[in-house]
Amino acid sequence: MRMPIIHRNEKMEYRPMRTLLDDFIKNAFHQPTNDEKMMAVDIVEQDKEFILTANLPGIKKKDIKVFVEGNDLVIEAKQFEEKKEEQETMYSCERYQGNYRRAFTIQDNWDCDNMYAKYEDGVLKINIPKMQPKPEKSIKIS
Amino acid sequence: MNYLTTRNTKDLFPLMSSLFDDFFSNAFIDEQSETNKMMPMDVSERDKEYIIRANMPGIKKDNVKVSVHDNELIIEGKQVSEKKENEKNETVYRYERFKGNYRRVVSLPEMCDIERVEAKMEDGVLTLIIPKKEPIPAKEIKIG
Repeated sequence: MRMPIIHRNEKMEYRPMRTLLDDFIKNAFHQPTNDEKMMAVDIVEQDKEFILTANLPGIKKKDIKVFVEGNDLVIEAKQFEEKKEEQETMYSCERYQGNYRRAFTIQDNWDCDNMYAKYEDGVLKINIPKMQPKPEKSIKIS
Repeated sequence: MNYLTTRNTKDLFPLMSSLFDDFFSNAFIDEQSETNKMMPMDVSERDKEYIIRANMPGIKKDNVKVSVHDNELIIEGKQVSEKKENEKNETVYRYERFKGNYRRVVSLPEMCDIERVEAKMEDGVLTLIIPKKEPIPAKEIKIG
């Protein structure tokens, strides 16, 4: 995993390192109801948006839920066992069969109202536009 | 005396646990762990067919190649990186997904009907259905 270098003098609007720790703690203390796993995720920042990409192989589009809960962006995916018409003898069973869940801390500049998601070939892609910086409002001193 | 150092233990485990894998056909592939990886795979059997399911998230249907050579089934998936217009201005915060190609070799039992293999790619999972051949009845030769 590559980590960006944090310059201390940069605006401290979002602190990737702190977020990383926050998320770690958040996900560590989340009580998994039934078997749940964190999926592999990429988070990339571009000029105008953040792009979150998550691997969810074998999950149907309708079984994926993306929602905002408090200050978290949560991705949940439920795996339903394929109906097997016939009894199968398993020889190797390496694929993960359970559910996925992962929470991310929403940053100040994430525009959560205008997010959009796409699911294709077992990969979920969420585009999160950046919030326009609010113009400074100066208050006159009388 | 350690021949297995080039492989990750992670890769070794499914290999050991899988009955179908031909150890040698996979062991001698010139494998660079960053660019080629074995995908997790389920192998099962029904009365009339074998079923292989392999996880290949993010691989397009057109970039999956399945071939049979000398009773060895080779599954390959090529990851075509998406075009990035402003890659230079990108900051990466997390980088957990595997970005390379997938390749795995499976030894098929003799009774497989290679001509009638069905393949399907859905939600990043490749499903192969390999029908079994009808056993050829033994021909008795009478002794005159």
